[in-house]
Amino acid sequence: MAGIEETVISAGIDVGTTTTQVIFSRIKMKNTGGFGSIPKIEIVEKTIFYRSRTYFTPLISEEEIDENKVREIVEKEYLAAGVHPDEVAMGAVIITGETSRKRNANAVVHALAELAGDFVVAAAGPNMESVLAGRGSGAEALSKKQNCVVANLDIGGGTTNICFFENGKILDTACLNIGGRLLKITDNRISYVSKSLEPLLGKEGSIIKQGAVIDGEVLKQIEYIVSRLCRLLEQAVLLDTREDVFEQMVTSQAITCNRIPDIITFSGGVADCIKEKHEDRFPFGDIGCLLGKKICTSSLFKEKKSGSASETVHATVIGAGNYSMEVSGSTIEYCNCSFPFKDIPVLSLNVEKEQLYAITADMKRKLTVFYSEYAAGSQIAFAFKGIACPSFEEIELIAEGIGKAVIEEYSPAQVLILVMESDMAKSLGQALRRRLPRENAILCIDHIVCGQGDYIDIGAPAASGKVIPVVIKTLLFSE
Amino acid sequence: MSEIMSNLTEKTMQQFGCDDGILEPGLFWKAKEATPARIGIGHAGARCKTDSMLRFLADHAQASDSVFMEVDEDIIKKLGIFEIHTRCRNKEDMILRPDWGRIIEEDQQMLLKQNCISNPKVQIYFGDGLCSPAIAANIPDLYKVISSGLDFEGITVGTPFFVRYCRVNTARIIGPLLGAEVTCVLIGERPGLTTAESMSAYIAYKPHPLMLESEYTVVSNISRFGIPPVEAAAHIVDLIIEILEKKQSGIHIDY
Repeated sequence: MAGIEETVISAGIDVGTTTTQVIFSRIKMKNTGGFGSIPKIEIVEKTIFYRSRTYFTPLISEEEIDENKVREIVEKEYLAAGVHPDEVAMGAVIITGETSRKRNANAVVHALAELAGDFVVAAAGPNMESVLAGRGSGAEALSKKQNCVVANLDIGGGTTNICFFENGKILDTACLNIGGRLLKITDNRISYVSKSLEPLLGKEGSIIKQGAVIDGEVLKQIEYIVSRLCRLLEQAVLLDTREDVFEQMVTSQAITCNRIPDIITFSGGVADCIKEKHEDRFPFGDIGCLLGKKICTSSLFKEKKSGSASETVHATVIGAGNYSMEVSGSTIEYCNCSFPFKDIPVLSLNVEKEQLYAITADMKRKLTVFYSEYAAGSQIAFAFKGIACPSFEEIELIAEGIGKAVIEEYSPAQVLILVMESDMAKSLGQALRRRLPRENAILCIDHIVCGQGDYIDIGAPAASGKVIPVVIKTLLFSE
Repeated sequence: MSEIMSNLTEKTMQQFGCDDGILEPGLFWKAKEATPARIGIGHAGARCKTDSMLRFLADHAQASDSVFMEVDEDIIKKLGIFEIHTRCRNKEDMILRPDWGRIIEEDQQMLLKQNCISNPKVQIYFGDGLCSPAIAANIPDLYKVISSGLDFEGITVGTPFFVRYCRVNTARIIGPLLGAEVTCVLIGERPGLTTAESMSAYIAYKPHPLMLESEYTVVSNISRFGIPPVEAAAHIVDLIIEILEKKQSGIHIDY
């Protein structure tokens, strides 16, 4: 009865501003329902069994990722781990930080996802980055364990991804153009100044410029800039009032949740510079170490119970491999579907107890708006909260409403994808099958929260077909 | 106190607790959310506090009522079905003589024969079991979803009926009597202190008097507090289809 157990391999690939990494883990799913209960498949164990070494992200120029070299790295690591892409059941590729702003970022991330496995999804966007890093770092789990607000700062080469968690739930995310490699130093000279630093350098020509020799004056200026960056981080997590220049350092959005974190954790490459002591000022040819040291003496450390996260430089890649996916409820319905579905836009549908008669109109209206932006017949998913413990009549009404819209508006090639929160997918799915032609493809899953503007990736059924793995992406490439 | 007295069982057990002297009430109530069990209810010396004692008595009374209450004839009428009874004459018999609760006398067997279609693929019937309120609370949604699901698959469903003073093992008699391939009993579940309207489904492939208990496939905890009846029903449809395909039930089905 409770015998279903399945272990699958998940891959995580992170192509960051500075480094590229690959991890593989085994994800164990098990029926925790017990005898006499309906099945309840849950992820019960995640074990990372392979971590690649940390590569420098290969670039052709400051504007372009070297796709071939990245492919080589990934292929090499698959070989070294003894994993064939066909064995990889799930996972995510994410391009993060400054790298995500390169001209070919979108193409590279999708190409890698194809290469990495059938249901390895392409993920991107500062919001998603922050969430994955926060989960991968262990901050989410910590917030749940301590029942408090934890802010994780994932400080990479080009950006800092911030995620606030409260008792295991995401409160807010942010991303700033602050990182350890905004300035690079080679042979005692400044070899690179990131555009992100411009707001801090002043209008007049600063002495911080490419080619400048590191003398006493320049060093003083660099240390000043590092302390400014550190202050901006304090402002980012609401420890201090934000100065005017703050807005200019924001990549996508700042923290607005107005909660002072109880604990601050650090991940990303710079987190390792916080605890490690280096003799040299620029051991990695950048300002990462100075920034780490500065953070250590700042109020980020003094006032809060702070420290390195349980995962630092690997946080994002672990997030991608272990925390990007969730599984649906175990009583779901699907037929005539060919998996996987990738990057399906989500529209929200109004399913309210008193307005069940209005579903057809609502669905048709939203489809019309959708088709004005996308090609007619594009695949979409409808999401709604649903009704807790609905009656037979309510299920019938909902199915009637949705079925009518499908018959009138869907093309034969389109799959009816419905994603809901309440436990009602199986009964609704069956009620829809009774109304639609037998050859119609239907996918009806529950226990998944998503909404208008999200994108969803849907994998092939796992655990004897009882559950469906999905990845909810709240932001794709904004361009 | 007067507020509590107005409705003793108004609060869920998760909201019912005593955080006097608790250093972190936030954490305490978080922990309470994890279970409807009676934890963190405080004490007065070695004894229960008055409100938790009253709550215990109220919940216990409700559980006890659901065992001893009769299923109202109006409910059976509303469901549009007929009823038979086992050898038990009342609820006291039902409790004291579990063996009678599975015996169906000849006159009642005749009633079944006269009112039901013979040899359906699936025979579904309802029993009060140890929880009468479960019938009114769950059967309307549960049965309609199961029967429309099976209809759609082209599986014939027998005439539904109600068995008063019913134990699960009536299936060993009724299954062969009506010649059903699969028999499914939807029966009130022994109540606890947290729910008094749960129902279980016991499903057997060709049940017979000598079958083993392990040959029943069971879905339990069906109620608005547990598994929503419509979802449980949709799951039962799949279970019955699988049982018909494999021609066996219970531990032989790895579900």
